[in-house]
Amino acid sequence: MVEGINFSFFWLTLWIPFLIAVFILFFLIKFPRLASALATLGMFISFGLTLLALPQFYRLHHHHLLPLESSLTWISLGSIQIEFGILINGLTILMLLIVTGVGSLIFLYSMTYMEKDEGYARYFASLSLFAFSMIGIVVSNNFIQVFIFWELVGLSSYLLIGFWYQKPEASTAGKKAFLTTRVGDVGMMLGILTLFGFLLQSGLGTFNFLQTEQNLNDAAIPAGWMTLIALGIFLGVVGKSAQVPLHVWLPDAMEGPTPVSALIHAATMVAAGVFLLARVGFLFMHSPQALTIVAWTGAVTAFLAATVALTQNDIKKILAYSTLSQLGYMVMALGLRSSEAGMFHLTTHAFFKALLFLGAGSLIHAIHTQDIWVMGAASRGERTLLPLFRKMPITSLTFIIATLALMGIPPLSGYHSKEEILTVAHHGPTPIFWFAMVTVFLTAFYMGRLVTVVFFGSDKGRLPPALEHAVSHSPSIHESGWRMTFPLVILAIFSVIGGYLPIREMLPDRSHFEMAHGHALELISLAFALSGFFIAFFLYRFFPSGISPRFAAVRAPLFVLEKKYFFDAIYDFFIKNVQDNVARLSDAVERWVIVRGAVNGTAFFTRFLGDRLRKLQTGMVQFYALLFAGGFTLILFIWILGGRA
Amino acid sequence: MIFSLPWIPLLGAITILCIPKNRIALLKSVVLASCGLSFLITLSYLFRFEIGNSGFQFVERLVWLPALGIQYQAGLDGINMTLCLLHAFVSLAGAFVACNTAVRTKEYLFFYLVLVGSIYGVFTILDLFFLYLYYEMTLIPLYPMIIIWGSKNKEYGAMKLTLFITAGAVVALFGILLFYHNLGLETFDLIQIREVLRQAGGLNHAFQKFLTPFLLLGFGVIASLWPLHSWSPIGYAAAPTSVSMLHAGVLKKMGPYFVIRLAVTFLPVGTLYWAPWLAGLAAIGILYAGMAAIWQKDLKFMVGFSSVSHMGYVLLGIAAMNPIALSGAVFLMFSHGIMAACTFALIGFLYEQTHVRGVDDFGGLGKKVPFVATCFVMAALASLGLPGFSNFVSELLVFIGSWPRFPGVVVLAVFGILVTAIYLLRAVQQVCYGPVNPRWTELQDAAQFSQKLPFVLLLGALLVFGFWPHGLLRVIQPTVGAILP
Repeated sequence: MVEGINFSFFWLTLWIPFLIAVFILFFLIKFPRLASALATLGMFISFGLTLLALPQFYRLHHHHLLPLESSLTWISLGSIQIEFGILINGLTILMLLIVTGVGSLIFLYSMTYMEKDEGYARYFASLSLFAFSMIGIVVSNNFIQVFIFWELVGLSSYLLIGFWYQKPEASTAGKKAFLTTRVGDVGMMLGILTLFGFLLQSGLGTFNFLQTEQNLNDAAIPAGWMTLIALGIFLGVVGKSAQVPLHVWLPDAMEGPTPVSALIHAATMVAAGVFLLARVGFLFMHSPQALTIVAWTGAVTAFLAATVALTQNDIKKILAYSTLSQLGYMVMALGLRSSEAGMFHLTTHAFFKALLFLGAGSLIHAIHTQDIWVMGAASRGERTLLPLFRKMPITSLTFIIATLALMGIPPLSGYHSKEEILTVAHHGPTPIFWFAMVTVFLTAFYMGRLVTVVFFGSDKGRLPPALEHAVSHSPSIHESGWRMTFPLVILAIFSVIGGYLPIREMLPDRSHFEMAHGHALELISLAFALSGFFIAFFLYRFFPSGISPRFAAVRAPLFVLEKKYFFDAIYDFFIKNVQDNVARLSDAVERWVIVRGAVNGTAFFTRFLGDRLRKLQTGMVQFYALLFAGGFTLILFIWILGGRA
Repeated sequence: MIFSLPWIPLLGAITILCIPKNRIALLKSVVLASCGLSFLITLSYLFRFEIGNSGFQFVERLVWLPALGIQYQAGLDGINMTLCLLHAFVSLAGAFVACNTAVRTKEYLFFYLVLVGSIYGVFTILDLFFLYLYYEMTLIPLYPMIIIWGSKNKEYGAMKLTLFITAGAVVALFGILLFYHNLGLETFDLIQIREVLRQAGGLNHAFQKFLTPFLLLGFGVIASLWPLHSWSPIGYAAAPTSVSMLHAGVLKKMGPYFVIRLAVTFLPVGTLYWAPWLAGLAAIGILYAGMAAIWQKDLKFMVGFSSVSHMGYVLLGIAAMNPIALSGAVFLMFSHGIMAACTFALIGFLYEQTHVRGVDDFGGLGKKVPFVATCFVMAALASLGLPGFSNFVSELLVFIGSWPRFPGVVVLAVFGILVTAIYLLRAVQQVCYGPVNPRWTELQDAAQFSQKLPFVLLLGALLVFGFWPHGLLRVIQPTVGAILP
């Protein structure tokens, strides 16, 4: 007999970041250094606790005793129980390791990166809140709890994206993130309500994941409704994991501090959506139509985002679109019934994307620009070979490693997970497979462009005057202290070896269809990746000023890409012309129909009546007597008539 | 001593009349003491409240006019316990705000205590006659308070508010009289009526269906049921801060309270019959007022429309006639009341110093007045139903409970939370974020304890019951379960 798992580890992992956030908010706002140290320590403790629980987990996993859950009743109303609990299975442990592990590195990194900011303590309070919300999603054992933390993740991202709230762009981006993801949350709420309604009809009103899974067959939900439920919940995923068409908030979220971008893009928030898809995969298994839509949404997102990334000039925006594209891969894999491949890629992606963002942050911190052209030019002043490599060796090297991992070059981690996804896609519909394949090429191309311009740029290119100015004013470039480089090194190590970690073994073996690793597939995707990289390398090495001036034919498509397929323009148009007009109409109805018409109309009518009736008060006794006599006669008449009848 | 809840503030009001008007400090301490004492007594009732008891507790009775069956009888069940708690929080917070009144302080504080006392009366009394009496009594101080101490178009606002609510009261009174006569019991004793009706199996169904609209419409006016809501935004905008707090926070909850107390309890068949209409109007109110709030330029108008929109959720919860939704509705009355009071207190705090309250008049307050700005953000988050604040739990329960009966309306209502987020985040951004507006370099943050306390009290209540909703739901639920057929 194997002993159970010690749940107190997980309760602590969950609540420590929250308590620290509250403590900082109340007591440490004036002591930023202490706040940052405490928050970072707390995150490392949470990570340590998760590690401590690992042996227990493996023992249980080995004996097939998972999942386990522990919960307390949060709300109890007659037939309805809403729990607050912890559900432990491989998925939970894997996500916990990612969130707390990558999270602690980002906390550590932030200690240096945000050092000079006046909101230092507030930053760490929000960051801890973010970690708390994300851990909450991961451990949740029911739909309502997931929804609660889902919203809290929205709040944390709102606070952190809009961290520099005095900057209008930042506060707008924060608001946009909150509202866009809330569109998804509406769908999610409706999905949960519908599901609950059906379960209640079948006699078991529960929000619990495991119970729902067990009772789903008995509930006999009609197929159409099942699809609606799944799609409602998927809408929440589309919002949080930034899939087309609700992806628009993610690039704007770059307004937040760079470590926050790393956190949002690697370990939290966008990962939450993919995680939820894996968590409630059992719902989707009941609805093939929903799965098809999920797969297509992922594929389209992967492709569209990769194309937009080709034209961006801001290093963080390129990485943001890259995240969108990679998330598309994960969602696509889940849509093709392979939560394994999706979660595997989520894990490796967490390593190398966090590394890319932190590397970008290191560059931004040193060079004080986000424009890749300026970055490249700024480091090129002294005409030595590969100047950035000399000045910032750790950042440069780890950034290149992460790039290669993202492109899927063997034997780095990204290769393994991407290969898995491509295999899954190969077994899926052909167009989806080709979307995925082309995206491999595009990914290599935009990353090739990025690193060529920043690290390998030729000094032959003539810079526009505006950039010359920026370059001449950039300070001497150097690495920024161990708290920023240490996380880079650790993440680089994991980006390299991540593919060999026993990740797939942790996941529940639900749809474990063993797939033949075709060598042909590997070779093709490798060829796509390498050709993408080298085409970009040569193009941007030898046409440093960009390709559009030379090739007129690409201008029109480039314009579409630069405008990001007009999504933002369409939404702005919708907000201006539909939402605002409905609001204006409501206001006008209120003003003119209800107030002016009905209410004041009544008042006017009353006054008018009063005015006319006043004329009856003539003051002449004879007139009153006449009225009196008339009235008396009338009453008498009615009385007599009534008496007769 | 349940009688003491309304009488302490009323006695306080009389005491104020005896104090010379230049003894400001003494006047203020009387107000704070009476509101504080009532607050503590209410808390003591909450702690002594017997969980699981669905009937009335702490009942006290004073025979007044036996010939007409009128007695001064008071007591608490889960529903009015919750509302008394709401009123205790809001009236205490409002007392701190009311004490800042600069002109004619004595008169204002007198009216304030009369208002507070009569609201306590409404929420504790269990006799139809005195219920109506206390209800009318709340209207008396409101009119002068708005006319004298109000702002911006105050005559129109006061007139409209008073006329609307009085008109609603007349319609409802007609319904109550019909009810009284049809009952033929010759008593106004709510406990007795309930007992008799329970034994007799309820009133004639046709009569219930005929009577219910009078009560729904009459009390719907107070609950700002669409389209009878138009007094509400302008009334709040015109009223001085502490009146807006009490009105949006507490007085407005009388509408749903009366509907639950009279229509749902005594006319279940009639209410069930008209429920789809109520739910439909509630849905229109949620979306329409939410959309109108997006277009408002004045913060107080925005919050006014917001409260119309939120009352839609309460009415929807009532219309569902189901224990979960109704518990949610009562819980939401509490949550929304606290949140609305907090928002009006914040706007009032800013208005007092700046004499503007346009959405785009401020900017950068996060930098300038961090405490107030933080509270403003928190109140907005509570209002848009963020988990952690009790508003989330209550709205969630309304959704879950109403879903089986009115799925279509719930879909619209869930969209309402998106609309709410739109106008609130927009307001937060324009008021608190962005660069500091150079117009307000003189603006002072809430620094003293007495300035911070109202906000801490109100937001604290939302957070406590947001994390621990069971604390209130266990009080509400047994009563709600017993009321519904």
